[in-house]
Amino acid sequence: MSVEIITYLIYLAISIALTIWVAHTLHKNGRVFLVDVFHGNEQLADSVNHLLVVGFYLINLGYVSLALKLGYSLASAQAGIEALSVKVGMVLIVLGGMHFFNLFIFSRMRRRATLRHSPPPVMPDAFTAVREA
Amino acid sequence: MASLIVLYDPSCGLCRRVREWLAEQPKLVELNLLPVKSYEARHRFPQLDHEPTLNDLTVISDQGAVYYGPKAWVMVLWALGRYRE
Repeated sequence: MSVEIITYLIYLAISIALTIWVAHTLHKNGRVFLVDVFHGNEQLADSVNHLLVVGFYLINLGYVSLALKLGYSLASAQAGIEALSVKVGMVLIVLGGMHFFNLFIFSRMRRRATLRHSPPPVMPDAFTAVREA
Repeated sequence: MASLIVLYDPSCGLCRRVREWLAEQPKLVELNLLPVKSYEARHRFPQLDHEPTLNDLTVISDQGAVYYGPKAWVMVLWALGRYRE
């Protein structure tokens, strides 16, 4: 096996393992947020959680696949490791960006849900009897 | 609080424009608009002094909490999905 093939295989192994780990973390810890957002409706929370994780996998694995090609040949194992570190670094940054984007979505959903149930912002000036229409 | 009743003055141009604008806004709380000192306004709020409602925008919740003037405007915005933040 050439240095290029070994580099590609290690790249794929590391990238896929990292994607699975981040997706798993997101799935496990995002659930608590979503259950709160959907007021204890666990079925809906699990469903949305699953859909988010599927999108996360698709975007990340798509990026890993697109970024695989090196475009030049590797002269030595040292060049292979250096190329690998650049590729894995890029994957890590994309994963980090996606992860923060997901956190942003979670927090925005939660904020909107709490706003929806917020109490009136001012105290009434008076009270009066109300007759049904 | 499920709904708010807004007492507006149909003889004031701004109030009519606001009423049309409110009709198009997405709402978090139902808004019902009644003309001030109308039969229906007096019928629904028999104990309310209707005189000040001519000068100040008045908002009354379905539980009977009354808001006048600036507080009434705040309550109207609070009822709208885009302006609660």
